[in-house]
Amino acid sequence: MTFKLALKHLFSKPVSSLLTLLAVSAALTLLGSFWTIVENLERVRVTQIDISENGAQPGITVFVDSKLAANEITSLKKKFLDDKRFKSTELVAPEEAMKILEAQFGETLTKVFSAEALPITLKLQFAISTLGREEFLTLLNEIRSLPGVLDVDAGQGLSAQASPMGETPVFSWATLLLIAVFLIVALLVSHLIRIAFESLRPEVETLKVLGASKFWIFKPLLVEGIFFGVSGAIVSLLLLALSVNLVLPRFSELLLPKGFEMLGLSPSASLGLMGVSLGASLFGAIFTWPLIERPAQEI
Amino acid sequence: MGGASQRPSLNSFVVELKDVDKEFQIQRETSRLLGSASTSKIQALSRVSMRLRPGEFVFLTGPSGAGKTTLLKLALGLDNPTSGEIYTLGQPVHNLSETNRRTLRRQIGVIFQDHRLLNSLTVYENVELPLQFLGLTQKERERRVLEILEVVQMKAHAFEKISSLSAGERQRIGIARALVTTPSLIIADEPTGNLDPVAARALIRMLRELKGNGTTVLIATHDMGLVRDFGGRVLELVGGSVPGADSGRDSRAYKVPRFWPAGAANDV
Repeated sequence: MTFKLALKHLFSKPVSSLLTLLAVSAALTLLGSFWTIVENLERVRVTQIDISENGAQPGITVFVDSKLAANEITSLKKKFLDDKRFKSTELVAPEEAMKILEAQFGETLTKVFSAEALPITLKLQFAISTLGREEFLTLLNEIRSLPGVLDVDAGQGLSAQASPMGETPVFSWATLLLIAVFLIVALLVSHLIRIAFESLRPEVETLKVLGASKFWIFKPLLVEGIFFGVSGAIVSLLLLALSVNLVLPRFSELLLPKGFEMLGLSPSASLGLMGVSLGASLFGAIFTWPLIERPAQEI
Repeated sequence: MGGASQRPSLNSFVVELKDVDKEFQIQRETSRLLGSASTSKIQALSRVSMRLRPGEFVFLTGPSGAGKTTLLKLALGLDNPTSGEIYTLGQPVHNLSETNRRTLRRQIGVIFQDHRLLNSLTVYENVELPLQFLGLTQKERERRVLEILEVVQMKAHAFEKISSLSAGERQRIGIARALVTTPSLIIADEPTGNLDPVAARALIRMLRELKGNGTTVLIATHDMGLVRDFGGRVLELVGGSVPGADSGRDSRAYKVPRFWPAGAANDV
């Protein structure tokens, strides 16, 4: 009877149910939009680093032990090319490598070593435009752990973008804003659910007079709360996916910095959004408990 | 139909009120600007004592605001008396917890003036509700619901929506919902208020027939025509005075009406 009653409530007032669902979805879409922006701010824009000041090229520079045999270097290059995140590997000429090192460490180093004594330098070009902060740092560590690899240089621009939270003021403010929006949306969703249940007040009073237990009355409301929470989150995720993948690319020149590719919410953030929605909806349903618990007052 | 509730013996009382007082506190706004308010008291019931025996058919009459609904609410455990004792189906309602009051109400059939049916449910589902609270099996529920719908001549409408029914039909469904548990007490608050005279008489006749089953029926009404037509025991609530500035109390008392059945005065 619990599910039946919940469904009957939902479909007996379709317009009201639909408006509640839309309002919940709108609030969650607002949160999802902020979340998407923060995630994109957090991403390391691997192909858009301006490191021209120090003469380096965009991408990752990998320093390989000069003692490696030619076939081992070929195998290493193949390994990078097999990784879909890279589009090309380029062996840097010793003179060019020297320039990179000079730019990075100063002339002292290059005075000590001759170009021939330097490690083999591989330049990796990314096939993708952005990487998650954690993913980027993991990638660097993975490359460092490969046999024959001495070190990896991601360039100052990239390293700065991958620096931990707190060191980048934009990220800190964005995160604070996200937390504020998170709380506002959670309150909004729970309030919307509570308002939706207000129309059931006479029914709740009647059930109390007829002798229904508190939990008997509460269970359908809980199911309805879960319905609004889950379906609201699904609708908002669909809206976000549509706007990021279909709408935004059409207006990217107007809305986004040049060459910036906006990515949709990550799976973990999507789950987070679903969790917020569900939690807030359950909270909204629990708000009705005082109405259920207090003695019936009308006949 | 089998009885869902334990019926009181003939020697016990189905409802018993002992010196019941009920006072309401009313807040009046004295200054809109400052938002201040004063509190005054209204005496809804004063030293009311009454007893209903098993199988009695009783009209509770009195003008609007006389305290009829207050008395019914107290008997149902929907409100607490300011003082006095209330026993319904042998249970001390004045001392019961909310959970126990809800359990008690499952054994009472309640009929509302505005039927209070759940519009989201069908006729069948509305009538089935009280049986769900009693925890009966689906088979038993189905048997009882169809049986009672037959009694109120609404079986053909079993799977219709409430919104498709007339006022009279809705009230019959309200009665079916009250009767489906075969309660030993039925409390009806102005059940004919929204009905035309023909439907109202048909409804009271239906309730009157329950007397033969040993069911006690307490009907609050201000329709004296119905009371005269159907007779039975009549309790009349009479307002003694208007709340005055001196005492702040509105004394109310029972008086024996002119069509009081012989011997019934002892119960009041």
